[in-house]
Amino acid sequence: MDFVYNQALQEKKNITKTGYRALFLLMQLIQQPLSRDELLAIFEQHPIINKDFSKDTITNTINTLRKAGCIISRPSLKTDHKYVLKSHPFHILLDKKHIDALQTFREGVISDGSWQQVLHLNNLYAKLAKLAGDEISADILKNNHPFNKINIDILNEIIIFIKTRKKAKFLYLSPENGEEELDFSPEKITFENQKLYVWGHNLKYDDFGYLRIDKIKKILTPVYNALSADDYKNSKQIIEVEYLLKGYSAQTFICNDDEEIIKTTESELLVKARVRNKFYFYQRILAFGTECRLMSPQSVREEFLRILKDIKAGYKDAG
Amino acid sequence: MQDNKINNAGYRLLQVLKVLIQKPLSVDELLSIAEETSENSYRKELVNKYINTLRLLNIPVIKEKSKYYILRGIDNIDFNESELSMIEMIKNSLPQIQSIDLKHNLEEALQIIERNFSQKTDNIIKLKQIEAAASKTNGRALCDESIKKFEKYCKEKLKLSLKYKNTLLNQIECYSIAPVKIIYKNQKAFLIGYHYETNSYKEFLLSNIVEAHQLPQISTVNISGSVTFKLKNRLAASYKLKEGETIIERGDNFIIVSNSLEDKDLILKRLIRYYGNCEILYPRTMKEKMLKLIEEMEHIYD
Repeated sequence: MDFVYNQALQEKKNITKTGYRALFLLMQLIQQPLSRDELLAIFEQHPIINKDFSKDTITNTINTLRKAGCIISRPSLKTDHKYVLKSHPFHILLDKKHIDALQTFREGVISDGSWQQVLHLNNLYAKLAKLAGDEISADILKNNHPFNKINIDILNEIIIFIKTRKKAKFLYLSPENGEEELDFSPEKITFENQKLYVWGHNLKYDDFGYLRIDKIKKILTPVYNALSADDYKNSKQIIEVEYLLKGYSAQTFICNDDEEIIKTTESELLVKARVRNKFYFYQRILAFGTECRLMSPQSVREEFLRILKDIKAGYKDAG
Repeated sequence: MQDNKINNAGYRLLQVLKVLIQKPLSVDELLSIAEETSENSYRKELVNKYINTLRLLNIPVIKEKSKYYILRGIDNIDFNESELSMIEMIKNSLPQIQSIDLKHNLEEALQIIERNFSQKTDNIIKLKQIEAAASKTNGRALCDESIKKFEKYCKEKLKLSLKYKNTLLNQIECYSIAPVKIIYKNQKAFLIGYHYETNSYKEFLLSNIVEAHQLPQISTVNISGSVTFKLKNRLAASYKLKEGETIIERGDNFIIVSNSLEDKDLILKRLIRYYGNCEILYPRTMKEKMLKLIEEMEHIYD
């Protein structure tokens, strides 16, 4: 804050000088940590405080601020002999009802599925945590979102890889194999079931698949060369599938990046999907239950029926 | 002891500022705060002295309707353009938000946030045209017109009789529920209710509720019956527990999870996604329901 000296008020002299001193000192510490000598030097120049200001007065003023709820560390070697203001109770704070409203708003945005927007909102909320009255509320603002386990630096690097069409080596915590190194060429990011996934060519398994971004522990190497046509073979295959949705699934349906609605009637949707990862696609279709019918191609319908048969067999074997 | 000595007059001003920064106060209220920290009583002139001191420090104290309030805090926050555009996005969403409480609390929150703007932030706003972030999405689910009504039902805690459209079978179903809360997903608003007949929680898409009547009985929520399922292999290692779930057993390559909150129809659709890596163990009725669901899915292709 810019402390403009107000001549008119000073002339009145109807102020509390000790109160002024305490607040002025607090405002100095808000701007930066200061040693006792630095504070003395500032005060010597100050037209209102300049008189009667000793080292003891600084100690008393610091004590006064502490009693009022300021957390100020003692000057030590570690703090370069400076007073460091860690927190103070003079913020205009958000109440619990405000925090809850902001959180409900974030849930609404999350339900829209725009992960970029959620990320921006998270950045804002992290800053607003300073205005939360207690640690629980601050924690809600900072962490109560689906990306709280994601390393933002890694996510930002992945976004760059996608833009520049480059590949990289990830250290990935695979649920099956534990930590493993994967050469991966990221293509897009999706946000589903409250998780962020990076899709691309997994060169180690010659597969077009996805990785959970919160499980990418490290980007091991700088960028390799851009992906060449020889880098992958099987993963290039794309199958075009059409499926029909009705009921609740049609009402709540949101297309992903590889889908488009090609026909809409009052109660049904016909969707065309470009499938590059069949496991993921069948997962999606299974979740629609009886409200979905695969229309074409026949090979996909047959494979899906085999999956249903296997799941049923698992239940029957278990008794 | 010198080390603990404080200045009482300074302390009184700080206490007054602490309260004044949160809410508007009259002269009498300000005086009583000052007197709380002392055994003395003071004249009203003391308040003038405090107000002058704060103003001299450029703290903007405003008097309105015989109450003082502080327009801006003393430790303000620098917001960058991206953060300001998100604030603008929240502001632009307000007219569409249907929940009265949510709208009101967000408006208040935005006022508080603006009172914490730093000079630097003000300058950014003055110099640049801040536009709301991507208007494509801004919590569309919050705009459902029936939210207001069902939010009121949740607050009033009376039993609710619902007529609900099953869009798959194109028929109307009747439910007697305890309304619990509104949730938002897939750009839609849903009512979570405790369904007495099945002793479980159920999700209702607000736009499919054809009719709702409050009954003159207080709604009560019992402990819902849980669904227990086994997850195997890699899924067991990577599974993230949902709200209302606990792991009741953990083995070498499996976990057994108990879920007490999820809608019993929706949990089937979620668990079937896990292929053969998931098996419902209990209750038997849910296991049978899963088998029935699979068979019905197969019949679609007969």
